[in-house]
Amino acid sequence: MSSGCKKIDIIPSSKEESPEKVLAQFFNVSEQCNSKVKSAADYLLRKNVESEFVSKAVKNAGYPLWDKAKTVTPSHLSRMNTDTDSAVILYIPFVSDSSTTAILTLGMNSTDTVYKILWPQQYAEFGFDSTGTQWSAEQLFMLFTEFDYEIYNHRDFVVPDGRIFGRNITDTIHISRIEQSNQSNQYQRSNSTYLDVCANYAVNWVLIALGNAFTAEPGQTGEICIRLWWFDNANSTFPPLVNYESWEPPAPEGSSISGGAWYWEDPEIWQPYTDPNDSLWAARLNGLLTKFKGRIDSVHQTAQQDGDERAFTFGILPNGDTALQYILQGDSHSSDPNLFNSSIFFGHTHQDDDSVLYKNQSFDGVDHYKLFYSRIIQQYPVDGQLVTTRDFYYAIVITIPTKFRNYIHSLTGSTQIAKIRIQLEDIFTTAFDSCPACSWQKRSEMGMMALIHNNNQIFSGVKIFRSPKQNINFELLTP
Amino acid sequence: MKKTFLVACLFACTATFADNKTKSVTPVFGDTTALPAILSLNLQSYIGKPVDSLLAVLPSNYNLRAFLPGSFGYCRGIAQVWGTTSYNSCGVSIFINNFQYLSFPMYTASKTWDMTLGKKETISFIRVYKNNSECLFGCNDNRYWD
Repeated sequence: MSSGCKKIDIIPSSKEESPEKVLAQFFNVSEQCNSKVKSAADYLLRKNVESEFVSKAVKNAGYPLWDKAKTVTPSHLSRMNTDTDSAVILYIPFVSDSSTTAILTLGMNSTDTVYKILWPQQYAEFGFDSTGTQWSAEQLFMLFTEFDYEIYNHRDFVVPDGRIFGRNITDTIHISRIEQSNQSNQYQRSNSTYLDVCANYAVNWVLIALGNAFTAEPGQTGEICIRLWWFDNANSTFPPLVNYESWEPPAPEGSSISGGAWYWEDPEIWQPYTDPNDSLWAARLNGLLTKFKGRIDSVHQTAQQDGDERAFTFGILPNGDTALQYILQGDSHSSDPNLFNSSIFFGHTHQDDDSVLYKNQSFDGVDHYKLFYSRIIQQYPVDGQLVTTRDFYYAIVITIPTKFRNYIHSLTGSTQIAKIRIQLEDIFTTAFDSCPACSWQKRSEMGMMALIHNNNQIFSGVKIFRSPKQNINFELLTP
Repeated sequence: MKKTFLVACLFACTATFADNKTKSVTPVFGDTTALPAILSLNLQSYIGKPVDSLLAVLPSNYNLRAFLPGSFGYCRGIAQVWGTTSYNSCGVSIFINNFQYLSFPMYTASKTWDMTLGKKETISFIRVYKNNSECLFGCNDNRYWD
C-alpha cells in the first residue's frame, strides 16, 4: 500500500486511550445493526466481563465494525434443517490502518454460541487446494478482501505468496477486483448447503522469481468465491468441535524455497495496493524540498566546509506539521539519521568532492541498504530517503513495501542483513564499473538503477526521483 | 446436535489446518547457538586491539566474514555472521574508525579488499546482534549500526 501522502497529513496520536474509551469504542454498535449483531455484541460484552480480552483484541486486531458484519441465516438457503432456523453465522470485520486485520466468525442459535477469530496470517494453514468445498487460502483472501472492498473500496491487492492462486511461493501477484453492475444479484449463489459470495478478479501481473531475477507474466481473469455457510448434508456428519479464540495473531509461517537457494520467511499477507502515481510523489517531494530547501542547502554547505556528512530526519509533529529534525554530524563518509515512529523520511548530504569527477553525486549501494534497514529491519515508518549532492537532490521512495522487502531478499539471495549489505554494494559496484567512460554521476545512477530494476517499482517496490537543486522539480530518474 | 451444527458451519474455516503446514528449514551452518560463546568473551577488552585478536577467539563455524561497506568506496569495519537467515542467526560487527593498513576510498567491490590487512586494523567498537535486529552488545551508540 502506498501511504506516502497519507502519512504526511496524519496527526499521530501519542496518547494511550483510556480503558473505558477503548471499551466504549469496541462495543459501539449502531442502532441500525440487526438484532443478531446486537446479540453478538452483548455476548462478547459478557465474555469480556468474565475474562477481559478487549484490550488485547484492540491491540492486535483493531476495532470491530459491527455495521459491516455479514449475517448469514437459514433464510438465505432453501430446505434447511428446521433445527437450525434460529441459527446465524456472523462475520464481523476488525480493522486497523485502513485494512481488515481479523474477522470474528461467530455462530449462534437459541442455546449455543461458538466463535473463532480468523487472521490473514493463517492463510497457509488453509492449504492451497481451492478445488474442494472447504476453504483454502484463496477463499480466506476473498473473505478479507471482500471486507476491504466494502469498507475501504480497496480493489487492488499485492499478494506476495503465489501459492494462494496456484503459483509458486516466490511468485508475487497483483490482483484487482473487477467492477460489475448488478453485484448483489450476480455475486451470491445459494442452495441447501451453502451461500457463496463471489467476485471477479483480474490478475494484472505475476512476478516470477527465477533465481535472483524476476520476470513478469500476463495476467488472467477469474472468479473467486467464498462459501460462507457450509453444511455436510451428504454425510449427515459433523466435524469435531474447534473453538479457536485466541486474540493473538498466529506466528508467521516459516518456510523455504526447495533447494535452499534462499530463504523465504515471515511471508507478508496480501496488502491493499494503490498504484503509485509518479506525479503525486513528485508533488510531495517538491513540497517537502520547497518547505525545507533553505535549511537543507545550509546543512549541505556546512558539510562541505568541514568535510563531515550530515544526516537529517523529516518527522511529523504533534500538531501535524512536517518538520526537519535531528541534523546530525557524521564523519567524512558516513552519517546516520535519528529515526522515530513519527519519522516519514530521512536524508543525508553527500560530499561534492572532486569537481571534475562529480564524486558522490548520487546514491550508493549502502544508501539503498540503509533504507531497507530503517524500514524493514528497524520498522520505522519512513517512506524514503533524500540525498543532497552538489547539483541534484535524489529521493528514493518506497512504493510497495512488501515488494521492496521481498525484492531485496531475492536480489541479494539472503535475508541476513550483513549479506544483504555486502551484496547490494557489490551489485552497485558492478553496475558502476560497467561504464568506465561515463561520468561519475552517470555511473552512480547506473549503480542505483541496478538496485531498483531500472526504476520499475513493480519489481523493486521503490522508485528514484531526481531534481535539480536550483529549481526544484522532481522527476522519475530514467535509465 | 444444535451446537454441533454450528460448529460444522465454522469448521469450513478450520478443517484444513493440520495437514498443510510448510516445514521450516534448519540452517545448515552456524546459527544462534554461537551466541553463548560470543557473549562469554570480555568483548570490551578488545577495543583498541587488532581485529585479528577478536576473530581468533570467536566461534569458528561462521557463515560469513566480510568487510562492512560504508558509503561508496569506504568501509565501516568487518562483519562475522553465524547463520544464514534473519530468524536464526547472529553477528558480530567490528567497527574500525581509523584505518592504518587499508587505504580508502577504494571504488571496487568490497569482496576484493584485502582481509589480511583488515585483520590488522584496530577495533573501535563492537556490536553483537541476533536475528538481524536484536542488539545484545554495543547497543548504546547509534553511530554504529548494522
